Amino acid sequence: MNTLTKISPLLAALALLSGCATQSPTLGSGNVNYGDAKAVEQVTNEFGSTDLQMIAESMARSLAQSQAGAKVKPLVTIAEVKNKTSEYIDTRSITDSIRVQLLKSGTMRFATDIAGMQNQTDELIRQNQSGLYKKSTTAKTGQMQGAKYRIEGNITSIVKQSSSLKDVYYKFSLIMTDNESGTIEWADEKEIRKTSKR
Amino acid sequence: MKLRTLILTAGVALGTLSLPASAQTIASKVEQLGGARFVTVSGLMAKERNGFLMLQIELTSDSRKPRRAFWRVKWLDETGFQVWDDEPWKPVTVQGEAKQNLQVTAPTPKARDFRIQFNAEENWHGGGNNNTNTSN
Repeated sequence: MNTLTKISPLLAALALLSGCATQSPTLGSGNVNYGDAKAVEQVTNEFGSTDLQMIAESMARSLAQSQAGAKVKPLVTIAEVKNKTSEYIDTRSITDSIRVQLLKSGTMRFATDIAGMQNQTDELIRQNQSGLYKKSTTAKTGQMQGAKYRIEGNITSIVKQSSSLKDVYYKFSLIMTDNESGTIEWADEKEIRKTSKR
Repeated sequence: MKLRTLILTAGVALGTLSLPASAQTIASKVEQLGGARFVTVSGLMAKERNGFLMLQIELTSDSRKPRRAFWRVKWLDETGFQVWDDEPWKPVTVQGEAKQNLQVTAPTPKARDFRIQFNAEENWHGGGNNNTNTSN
């Protein structure tokens, strides 16, 4: 044991000298670090990744549960989520995350929304009017399905600050409306409070 | 509506939710990251609603001051295979000498079991930094 203790550093040094040291599969000077995308982001108290993730998760799960008992997966479209805060917030990114989670959960189907409609019609026109495609393989026009429900909402904030403290309160509200009847079939909201010392 | 309930308190299992036999205590359901002097998971309830697993996690603070903790849930199937991506860590502030319930629904009906990852390490050192971040 004693002999082993004595020769271990020697063996390690020899391994290094002979080029056997394990190299990490990285490139560059090491100034860049990959972090945990799911970590709680507290760099500043502006709207951040953790807020986006918590809102999307909370809304998607509430929606999924509301439709869990349905025999047929409802066809839904996402309308606008208005940003009524004083900050720039990409609300499309929030609704994209909600849609991804709902599709993965298998509880809802989504119709092309307004933002995707141009691409959808362009593709239909290309397939049907360019004369380049076999008739039997083209996607037919007039076959798009109308969504039974639309999801829309808004995000608001209240900001208060004193000489020593800044408090931001966010409220994200979402509703799902039956397009035919105009009735609101589901609604939920998520609140977040962030406080920082100045 | 199918409704089955499991209540786990202080390591004693009550109820009949079909979770693996090895998963019948709070300790077996909570992955504690670091020490937790002030805020601990003191109760756990699970029920199934419309095919989705729902959890209620009770946190208890022994501190007189509000204390922060972080948590998330790993959703597993019957065999222990993770059936959903890692959730974002969620911050929670527990008021002084208070109990607080957190409720969460599984993202998919495939989730039949769970592990709660809980971090209150900062409590051990007796305080937070300049930022607090609370969600409800």
